[in-house]
Amino acid sequence: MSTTLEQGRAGARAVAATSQVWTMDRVRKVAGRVALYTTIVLGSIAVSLPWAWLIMSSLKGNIEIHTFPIYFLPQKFVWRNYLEVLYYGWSGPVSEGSGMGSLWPRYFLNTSIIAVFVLIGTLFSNALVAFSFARLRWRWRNPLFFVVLATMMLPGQVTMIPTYLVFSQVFKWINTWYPQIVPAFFGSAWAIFLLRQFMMTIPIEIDESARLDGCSDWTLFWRMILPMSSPALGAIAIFTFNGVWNDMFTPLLYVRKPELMNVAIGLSNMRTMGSLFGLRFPRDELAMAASVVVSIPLIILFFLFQRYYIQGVVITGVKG
Amino acid sequence: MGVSAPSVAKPYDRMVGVRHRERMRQVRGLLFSSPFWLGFLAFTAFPMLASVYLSLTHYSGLEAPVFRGLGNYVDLLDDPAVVRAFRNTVIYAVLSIPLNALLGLLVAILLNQKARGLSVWRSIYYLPAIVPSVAYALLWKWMLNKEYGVINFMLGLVKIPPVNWLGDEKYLLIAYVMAGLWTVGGAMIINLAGLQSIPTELYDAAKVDGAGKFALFKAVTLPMMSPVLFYNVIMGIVGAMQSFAFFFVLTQGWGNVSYSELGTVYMVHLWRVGFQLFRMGYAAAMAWVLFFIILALTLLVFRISGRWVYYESEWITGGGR
Repeated sequence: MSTTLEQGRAGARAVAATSQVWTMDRVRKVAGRVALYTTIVLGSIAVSLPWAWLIMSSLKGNIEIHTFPIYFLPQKFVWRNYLEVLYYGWSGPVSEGSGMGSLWPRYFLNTSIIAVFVLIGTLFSNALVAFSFARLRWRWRNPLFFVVLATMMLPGQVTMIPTYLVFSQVFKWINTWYPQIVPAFFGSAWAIFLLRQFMMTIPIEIDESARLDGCSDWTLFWRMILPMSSPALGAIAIFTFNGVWNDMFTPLLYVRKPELMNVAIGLSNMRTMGSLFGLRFPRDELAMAASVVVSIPLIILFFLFQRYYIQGVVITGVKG
Repeated sequence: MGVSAPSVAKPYDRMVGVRHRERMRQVRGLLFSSPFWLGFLAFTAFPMLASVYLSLTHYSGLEAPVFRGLGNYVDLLDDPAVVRAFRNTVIYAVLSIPLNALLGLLVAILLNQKARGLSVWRSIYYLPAIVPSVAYALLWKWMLNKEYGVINFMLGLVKIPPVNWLGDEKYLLIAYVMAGLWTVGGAMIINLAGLQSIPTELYDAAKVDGAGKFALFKAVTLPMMSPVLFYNVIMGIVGAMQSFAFFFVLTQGWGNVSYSELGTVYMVHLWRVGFQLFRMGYAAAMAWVLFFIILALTLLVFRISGRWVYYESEWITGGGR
């Protein structure tokens, strides 16, 4: 703290010393700074406006939100909207939602349970597979790794319909969480790729000395390589959690009972409708409040694990 | 197996030992990677074969499939709903993704300058990219609302009459592109990593040659970044073709699930054909068409440029920060 203060003072003195001389160069430099900060600030205001609008809309009353002309700030802050989302109902399609308690606590609980199982499955199975590709020597290892990479190119849509038929008709997995959880235990190409690349960077001497001490492959994996891979595992965990939180498609296919749904499908079911004596009216303010509530855990996660996030985005390339 | 070999000649014995050890090594390698192979058989190989067969049949999911050869594929080509969904997807992807990539590059350059609180600014720009897609769609649906939406309100301030964003296909496509720009932070992060991997010597050398700021951009930044940009554009288009939740929620009707064909995209239409109209054979054919388009685009990426591969693998193996 004090060093920055001193630096600041020194800087101020230097500025004071030269401030009389407004050379062309200095003018250009100052103008550049001003332009830079103006652009950055204006851009961040533009990017933040939808956020602000989301939050403000979630705090307006049902009548105010449907009044024209519109105002940015609510005339009266209706914090009750959040309570209504979380406790009182309006959580599903009209037929199921109205009159009964909110399903949102259930949605959060369900998603968390699913996420725990998916995370365990993803981290364990992918690490195991990556270990065999990175640290064990066996025949066809590299050609088979190419097969792993090739599956990355395959869009899930191609396998979607037969998978659905097997899950729903052979295993009878409709209205269960198995379709969301079970595939996680069988590895996925991008995570295997990422972990393998990471494990390759761990010095091979570790394996050699472990083997000299009589370690089995399993011990080497479980005691040494797995703990050392935690940065890569962290990135994968974050992305997997994000995927579970965002997954609307799988529950859309397999889950019909509202009390088994996750947050994404629950949110998409906020059909922004309420009903009063059979009259239907939109409850946009509740949809906005629910959107805020669903976004908050991901935002907190982002600020806690920013580094992993950025790493993951860069490695996986596209998805934001 | 070979362990209990009779103790005759020594070299033979040793050979059995070596062979045994090698075999065990092979077994262990396969055993450790077995989760993937089991999953590969159950969730990839078998469904793929089944999908090929189904795409050649008429199948409602209830009665036995009826084989009809390439009939589904022939029908696809002049099914107006499919063509429309495909056209919408392509228009959206081709407009939105390059725009995003370009804006992402500009923002990345902006936030690669020396300025105070860079990490805070970067977080602000990146934050929209982590909004859950359903929330994202609900928010934009509300902002695009014809009567009470903030976008029409702002247009009203400059005397532009209200636009029926969600009720008119051509405005809906513009709305998609507009909404997509909010996640420019995702492209920014990738471009930032790309910018930081450009060797500073290149800039120094160019400066020695007397290059100005714009010349630096044109002669160093753009050529060095073009593989990253190109990769992101193609992969972004591939991603856009497969995205579902955002479009599903945005085009979903009010009240009960009333699906509108308006502004529908390929994946949403595929879902509807398969799981609402129960034309599973037809949906499987749609999925295969999508697959070949994606395959062609991916091969294009591999063919045209090998540079980004180098950059990426270097980053992963710890070459970067």
